Amino acid sequence: MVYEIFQRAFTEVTMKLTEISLQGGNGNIPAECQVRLMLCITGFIEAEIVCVFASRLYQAIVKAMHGGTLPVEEECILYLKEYVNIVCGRAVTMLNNKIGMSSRLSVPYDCEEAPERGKAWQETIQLYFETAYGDMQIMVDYSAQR
Amino acid sequence: MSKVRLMVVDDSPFASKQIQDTVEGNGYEVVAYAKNGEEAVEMYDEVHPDIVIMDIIMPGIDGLETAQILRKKDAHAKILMLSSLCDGGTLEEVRKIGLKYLIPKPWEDDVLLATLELVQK
Repeated sequence: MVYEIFQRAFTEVTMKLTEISLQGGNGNIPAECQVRLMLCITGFIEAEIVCVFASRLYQAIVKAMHGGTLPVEEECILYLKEYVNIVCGRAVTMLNNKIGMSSRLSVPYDCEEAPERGKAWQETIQLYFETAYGDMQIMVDYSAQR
Repeated sequence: MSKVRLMVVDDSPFASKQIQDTVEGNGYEVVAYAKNGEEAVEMYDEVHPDIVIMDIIMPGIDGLETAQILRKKDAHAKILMLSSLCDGGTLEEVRKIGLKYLIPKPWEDDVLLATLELVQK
């Protein structure tokens, strides 16, 4: 269920916000061309979500959200953070509504500034998407209260 | 007729720009932007907006806590909440602090405008 919810949220919201089509892929992103963001879910479901974007895809998302041009450099990452916030917010909303329990979402962090949590997780899912601008990988480590 | 004065509180320049693009030309004027709750609290007394449009998930004090602080300063403050997280529990938290309206991100322009009409009443 968690996999399907995240897959649907990413596919639908990405199309709505950017008109970029996400297809199943192999998540092949060279290490030197990656932009990484992380978020946490707290509450009934606890999770760490790591989102990795090919740098061309990062630029394509930001451009689409900014009306076809790139904003000033320091604002670019804020656009990507908002994209991740909106997509993951949709996923957590669907999860909360499905299971009838409440979980909250953190602001997105650059991976370097993310808090160390070192938790043992019950489950891990990985989603790989391919686009015309490069690939995207989403890794969700999560546990649910028993 | 004078325009309705809005203060937008959101850490995202995308959301702020979207709101401005939607409301301008429809009888509203964005008179202030705050990037977080702390800025919003500082600005509120100076700006005295007719309506505050505020994100919930923000760094520092979140939108729900900020709304409570603004309501303590001004019991009649009109606040419209926005969030990517829009489940029943979030709506309940919004209502618990005495607010009525929560719009999901991404929003439809007509929903934002219609809700702004309701907030004014």
